[in-house]
Amino acid sequence: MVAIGWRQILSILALNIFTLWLTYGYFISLNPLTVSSLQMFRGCVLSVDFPESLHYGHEITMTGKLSCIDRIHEELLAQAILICGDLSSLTVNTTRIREDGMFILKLNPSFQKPPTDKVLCSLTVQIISKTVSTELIEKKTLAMFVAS
Amino acid sequence: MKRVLELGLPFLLIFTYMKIISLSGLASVMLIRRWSMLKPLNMVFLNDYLDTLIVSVATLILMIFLAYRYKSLQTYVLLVVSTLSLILSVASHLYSSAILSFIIILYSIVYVLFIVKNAEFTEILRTFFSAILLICFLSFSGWILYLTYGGINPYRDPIPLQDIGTKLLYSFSPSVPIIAIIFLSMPLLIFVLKPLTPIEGSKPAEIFRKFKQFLRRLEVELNNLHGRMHVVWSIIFFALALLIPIFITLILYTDKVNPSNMVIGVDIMNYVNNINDVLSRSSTETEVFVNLMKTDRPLSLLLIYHISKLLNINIKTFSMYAPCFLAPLLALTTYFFSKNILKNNLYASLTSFMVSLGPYTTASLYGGFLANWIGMSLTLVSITILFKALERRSFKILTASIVLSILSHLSHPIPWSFMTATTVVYGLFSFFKKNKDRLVLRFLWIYALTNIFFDIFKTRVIGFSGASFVAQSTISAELSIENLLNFWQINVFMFYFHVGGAFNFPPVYILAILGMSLFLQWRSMKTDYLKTWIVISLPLYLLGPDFFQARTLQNIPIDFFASAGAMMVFYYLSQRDRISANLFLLLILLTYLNNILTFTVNLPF
Repeated sequence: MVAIGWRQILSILALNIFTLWLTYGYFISLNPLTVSSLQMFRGCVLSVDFPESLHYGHEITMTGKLSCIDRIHEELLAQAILICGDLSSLTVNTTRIREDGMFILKLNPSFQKPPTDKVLCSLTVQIISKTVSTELIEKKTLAMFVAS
Repeated sequence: MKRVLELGLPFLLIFTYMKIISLSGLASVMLIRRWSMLKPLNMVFLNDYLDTLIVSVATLILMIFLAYRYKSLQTYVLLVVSTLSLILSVASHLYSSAILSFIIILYSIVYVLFIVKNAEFTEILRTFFSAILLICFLSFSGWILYLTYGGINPYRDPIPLQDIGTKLLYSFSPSVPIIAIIFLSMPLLIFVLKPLTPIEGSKPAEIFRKFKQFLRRLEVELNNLHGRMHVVWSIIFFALALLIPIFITLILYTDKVNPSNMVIGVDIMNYVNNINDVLSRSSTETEVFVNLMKTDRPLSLLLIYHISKLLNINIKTFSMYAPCFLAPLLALTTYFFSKNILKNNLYASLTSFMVSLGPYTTASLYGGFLANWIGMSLTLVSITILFKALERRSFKILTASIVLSILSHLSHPIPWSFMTATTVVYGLFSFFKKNKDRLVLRFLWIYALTNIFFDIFKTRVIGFSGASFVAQSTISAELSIENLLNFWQINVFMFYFHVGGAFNFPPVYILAILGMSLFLQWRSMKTDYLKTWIVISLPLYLLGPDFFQARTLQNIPIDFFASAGAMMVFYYLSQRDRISANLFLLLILLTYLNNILTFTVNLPF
């Protein structure tokens, strides 16, 4: 028979508390990102009408449609991201998606005027939920013309 | 019959695992074109129904073989349960069927290996590694094809070649926050576990004793292993550690990967703007020097400014391509530092490989942490030389290490702060030791105090920015009990979203836990120093916000532990089967290569 002292009792207590904390952590870390959000955009398809070219100083307008097998979840939003060269040009705008899946996105780039008369830009439209970005994305690389 | 089981069971085990992950609805966050995106980990070959049906039929066939061969109660039970799995799969209870098949296969492996002992462990290992290697190789080929031919829309599911490998790896990512915190807590957990030693003579005590013996033997062996295969692997890993980051930086700015030619690295424009701002305010070179010295990372800025001037390229272009120089520099310093810890070339080159292709580099590329790269390299050199000074008891070498530590301070305050705090805490531990070496203690205190006085001089006397200044402002503003209460939410965000989820790479933490268990058994000045480094990081990790946690992970020697863990597995496998040991190293190589390719190819918009 082996006697259990207060050191062993304290160790067992400390280990239990640590394990409980880890278990709680595991469920917290697993839940919000892994299963629940996925259901919101299952069976959805995104289509976007991108402009043919961009002009510096002009507003960019795009229309798009989200088609889902089931209803369109109210937490889903459409987001447009424009980037021309480095991150300082990053322009973002977000809009609600109507019940029929249609959305209109407008961007007003206000970054510093590029020194060349033409720059390459990346224009992305994606569907996001409150917590994460979904797989529904369309992207186009476009030329932005800069008037002298 | 034996061969069928040795080949069939491992393959089926992996395949069934994939189906369980797929059918569970598990998802993970992946970086896709610079966006952290939630993706389901569904792995479908024909369709879910047929896949599961094939698994259950294959399991049933193997169980018929097993029951026919061994004719025992256990094999008959396995046969009945596998029939049940088939019925469930036919009735469309796919998830339950896959779980049942997985348990049957797992138990069958245990049965043939340990109960009837009629299968070769080495054969099962070889098949297991070969199957996973095949998946990793397909992923790697997928990226090479993408880089060569392009043409795939990266927003859609990656082509099947990359798909399975990535999803298999990310199936472990939900456990990453847990494994990481276990690793960081291990040096303290050992004190909690100490009173719980198993009862003498019991089975757990026997296992524990054998494990300890294995670790002690490993300490001797790892310092003396220099076989031919070691040399070959060392060269491969070290060459890749030096070359891959250069290649990766260059492909980041190719048309195929980055068609809009965006600058990669969030902070890069800050460096460019800082230098340009100083240049616009200064009329002479002396003024440029003084104004740059006022910042918290003057050496890094001076290096960027002078090298770009010397090469006659603009500051922005040089900063964009700076990782080409900085990553190999860190690989080199890591090599010498690890060679100093263990006298083993393979360990040293594997550590540099893990630093160059692992989360440190991917996070640095995303963030553009140029100064941290320089600071970390100088910190590692400084500590390597400090160890040399302590071994040789040479004041001259100590002076060199202090000079390098001050250069590290001037490069970036964070790695320097970690190094100084580690030295102070390690000095305190050494002070309270029974058999303390007074000269070693004196050297440590000279090293730590000179650094602290230098920082006080720079920040408080001259009034420039520096480590204590940065630490004071950020620690008082950012560390809080509230962060500890919300630890898991912050930590999960950090792993999946911060710097594009660069730290969400499970193998590092799994191997680091193994490495830590090894280092906890070893009592040497160098391994104690490394453990102290981890101990001092824990409060920051627990009390800090996401960017604090990320910087902590980046500035602790996690890869040194991961590499030791890999060496432990390699040594264990070498004792049983050399081929499996080599397959394991090949698996590490391909997993890390795929990691850096998956991450960097997705860095630009």
